[in-house]
Amino acid sequence: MQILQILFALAPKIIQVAQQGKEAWEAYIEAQKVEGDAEINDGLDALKSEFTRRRIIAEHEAGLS
Amino acid sequence: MKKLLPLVLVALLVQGCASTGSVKKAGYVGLSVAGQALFLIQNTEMGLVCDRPGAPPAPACVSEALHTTEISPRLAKAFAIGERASGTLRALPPTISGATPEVIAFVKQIWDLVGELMTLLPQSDPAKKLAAKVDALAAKK
Repeated sequence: MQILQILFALAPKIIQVAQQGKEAWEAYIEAQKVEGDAEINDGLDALKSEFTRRRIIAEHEAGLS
Repeated sequence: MKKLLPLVLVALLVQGCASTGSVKKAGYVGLSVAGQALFLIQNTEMGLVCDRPGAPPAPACVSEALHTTEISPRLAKAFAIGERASGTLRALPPTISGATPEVIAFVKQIWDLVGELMTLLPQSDPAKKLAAKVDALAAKK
């Protein structure tokens, strides 16, 4: 009974930690799925575009652009 | 932990190169994970700036000055490094073997900036959740 109470009390924290780990795991798995040089290059092109888009936003927020 | 991150990164990146047999892929995975950490920081921090919709009250919010002069320039710098790293990796031939010190240095610089950015954020629930997510990503390096 006491164990169940402890588990119920910890449930929100356990779920939160699992969700945080899931996001990291998904990012890692997505990158790991890529196979072959052409796919890696496509992935790198997409990554570079996203870095550029976000750099422009950050520069705007910093008042640099 | 933040001082250990670059060392762990280098070790895992080198290990990844050896175990997967593809230097380029190991670099791509390492850069993707570092980029994901940066994307999460930018997404979260933009919503924490004081007086913006949904931002927590002071002292938990990010002041306009901190956002403008400290956090955004570091994010811009980290994204610029990410752009250079992506370009450098893309230019590598598929058959390259051995370590790629330049790419490892780029990814290390990004994680150093991630560490700096996390220490700049004021304590708040969203910042704590972000730290947990960034730590989870750091463990995937």
